[in-house]
Amino acid sequence: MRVSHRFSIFTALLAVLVLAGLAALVGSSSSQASPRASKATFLASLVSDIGKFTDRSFNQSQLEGLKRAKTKLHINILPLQSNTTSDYTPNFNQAVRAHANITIAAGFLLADTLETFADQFPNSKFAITDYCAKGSASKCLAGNVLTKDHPNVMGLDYAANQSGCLVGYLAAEVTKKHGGKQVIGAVGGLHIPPVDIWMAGYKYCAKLFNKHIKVLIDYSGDFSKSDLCKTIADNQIAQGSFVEFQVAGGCGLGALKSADAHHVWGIGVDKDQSKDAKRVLISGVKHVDLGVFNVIKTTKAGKFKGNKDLQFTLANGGMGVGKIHAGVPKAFITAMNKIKAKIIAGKLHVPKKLT
Amino acid sequence: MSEPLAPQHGPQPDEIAQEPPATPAARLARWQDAGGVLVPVATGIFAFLIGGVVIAATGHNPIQAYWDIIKGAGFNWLAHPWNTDVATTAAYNFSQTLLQTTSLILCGLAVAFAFRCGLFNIGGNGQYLVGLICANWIGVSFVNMARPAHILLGIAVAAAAGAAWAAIAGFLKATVGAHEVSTTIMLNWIAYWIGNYVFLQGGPLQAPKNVPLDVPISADVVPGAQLPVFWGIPALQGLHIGFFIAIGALVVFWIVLNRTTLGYEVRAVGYNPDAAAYGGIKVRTNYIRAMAISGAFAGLAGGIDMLGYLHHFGTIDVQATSIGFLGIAVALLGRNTALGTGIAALLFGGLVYGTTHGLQSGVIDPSLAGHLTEIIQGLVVLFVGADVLILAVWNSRRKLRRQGRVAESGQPKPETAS
Repeated sequence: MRVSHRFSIFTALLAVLVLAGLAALVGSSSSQASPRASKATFLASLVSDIGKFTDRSFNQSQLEGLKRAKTKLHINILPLQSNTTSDYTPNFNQAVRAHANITIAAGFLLADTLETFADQFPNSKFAITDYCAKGSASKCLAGNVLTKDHPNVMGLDYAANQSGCLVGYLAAEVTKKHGGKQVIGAVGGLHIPPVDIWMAGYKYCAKLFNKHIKVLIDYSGDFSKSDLCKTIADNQIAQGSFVEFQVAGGCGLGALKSADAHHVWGIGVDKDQSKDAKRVLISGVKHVDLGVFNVIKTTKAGKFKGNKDLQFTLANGGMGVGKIHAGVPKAFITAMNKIKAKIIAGKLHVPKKLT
Repeated sequence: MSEPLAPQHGPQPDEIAQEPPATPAARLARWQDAGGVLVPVATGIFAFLIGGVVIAATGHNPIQAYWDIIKGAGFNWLAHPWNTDVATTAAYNFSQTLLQTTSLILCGLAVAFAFRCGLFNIGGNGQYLVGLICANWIGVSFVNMARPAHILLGIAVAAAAGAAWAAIAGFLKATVGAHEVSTTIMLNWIAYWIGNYVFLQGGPLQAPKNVPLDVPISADVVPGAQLPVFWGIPALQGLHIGFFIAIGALVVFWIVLNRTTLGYEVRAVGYNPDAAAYGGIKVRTNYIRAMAISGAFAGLAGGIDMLGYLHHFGTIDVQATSIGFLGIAVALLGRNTALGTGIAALLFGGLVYGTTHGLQSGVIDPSLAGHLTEIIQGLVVLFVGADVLILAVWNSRRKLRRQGRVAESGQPKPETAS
């Protein structure tokens, strides 16, 4: 037993050494060709957060923007998915070492890593979704500002509160028409600014157009486990909620399912989610794909301005709403469009912080 | 029981092993022993072959894909190891593979040690998390401490926390007989939600600068508590000296198991708790002790990851942590031995890092690459687990044949086959 054990370990070691040797052999023959990063064409890279490119909302939308840039702007792309937290740094490293002309961080969670790389590689250009550069902090729509001035970073800033306002109005109006308890709900993933800015708009405008409405706000603490959001939505509906707004990515799909099951309404987020459940009233849409596309286009045209932001609002089509359910009266849609015009004209200011 | 007590030097584990082992984990370990090294190597190759078929089915060249994975893991660095400049992709990738290997060695040992005592420690992830949380707490407090003392304190507290966490499961097993598989899984969830809470808005470890921003992320471990980086740039996740701690842990694991009374008792209990008890070994004490040592390995992994390269952690990071579960696969593939775990950790480190970073390109769709990563990892884990099944089938066939022979020769069938 003892002998066979020792023998087996040696065999294993031998196997690994042989494999390594093989790898080394093949490696030496082909590694010489590595610095072929063609500087002739433009390379854009996108690093996902741990929501991954398969999250059916935030990261996936941005990937679509990157792919559109590939076909429309004729560039090379390098999408890099982060499966764990320890992938962030290697992914940025991969993008920088491949001489990407612009590297885009897909959001909020990547801010720390992005700032490190912006410091370490001053000649590379970066952009980040849902953050403002420090240089334009005073004009920031969403509220998150990088800690330092970086001449090689652009912020991509989204006024999600504006779309939140529109869906909040519709939720309030539908509830008023239905009568009964005047309650609507929202299910958030985490108590973080990119989530709260949606809810701030939702709550503010619901109250603005239906004074007696009560807005329930709860957090699942998670962005992927749909059963958690379903439970929270079930609870809110039990308290009389007639509309459930999900701001929790993949988890929030459970809230839409819950609204289906209880025959109330659900509201989608980030992307048009009208196909993800049967009773989706409307979706608050944040065109993060447009942000990715635009920052690539800007950089390619040589108009990259470090320490500045690209802003996305209802006015420039960066924010919007998804498909409206056929059961919604025409009058409501007309009224909603009037509110939209008011926001664009600057006559209605929607808060960006939950109060 | 009326026979005289065991001989003075106690029964040899190999002799004890002639009895059918009592716990499922012990049975699993024995089957694995029986397979030697051929079965894991064969199943590993089989997994890669099936993975290749999957890759081919998606319309990509499997040989190219595997070559990309090897390059992604930086194994091609071994062709010119004198070039340690991390500006080259190969050197950087290999340093990152070793970074993953570091945590995997320790998480693998956490599973392997319990296994040798006949316990199935599924709680590596929870023990890793409590270690990591405690290391963060130590790392952001005691700002004025001297660097070596601060690092040692952080590592010691992390290991102790992991040990205490796992010892709960050991204690419950020893006292009320609660199965360690269920209790460690439950403890995983408790650690998960503690992790959620401590970094959340208003949580005790949330960084003060993040409070007004509503950002659920901890403060950074102060530079004085960070492990020195010996390969690469510290800001770019360089390889820290925790790697040598992990190698040291392998040696400690081997010595403790094979050269100490404690290890002898652990193995004896693992082979057969009844026989061990008969030989005068305190089985319950050993359950608690083995779980604690297991947990110490996992807690250590969390501690050195925090002090070595993570430096801060957030609620969302807690939710994405799964390295403790990968430790199970590492231990199974490594046959619960020190050297085997080390080799398996390197293989899995390369696989995890290499599939993530080698398959990504403008050519393969990133969501497809992500799924391929999971498929290949999943297949390896499946087949590594399945070799136990293959052996079980093999053994029962042999058993049947033997019983058939016995029946033919007209002898009465024995009630239990040995």
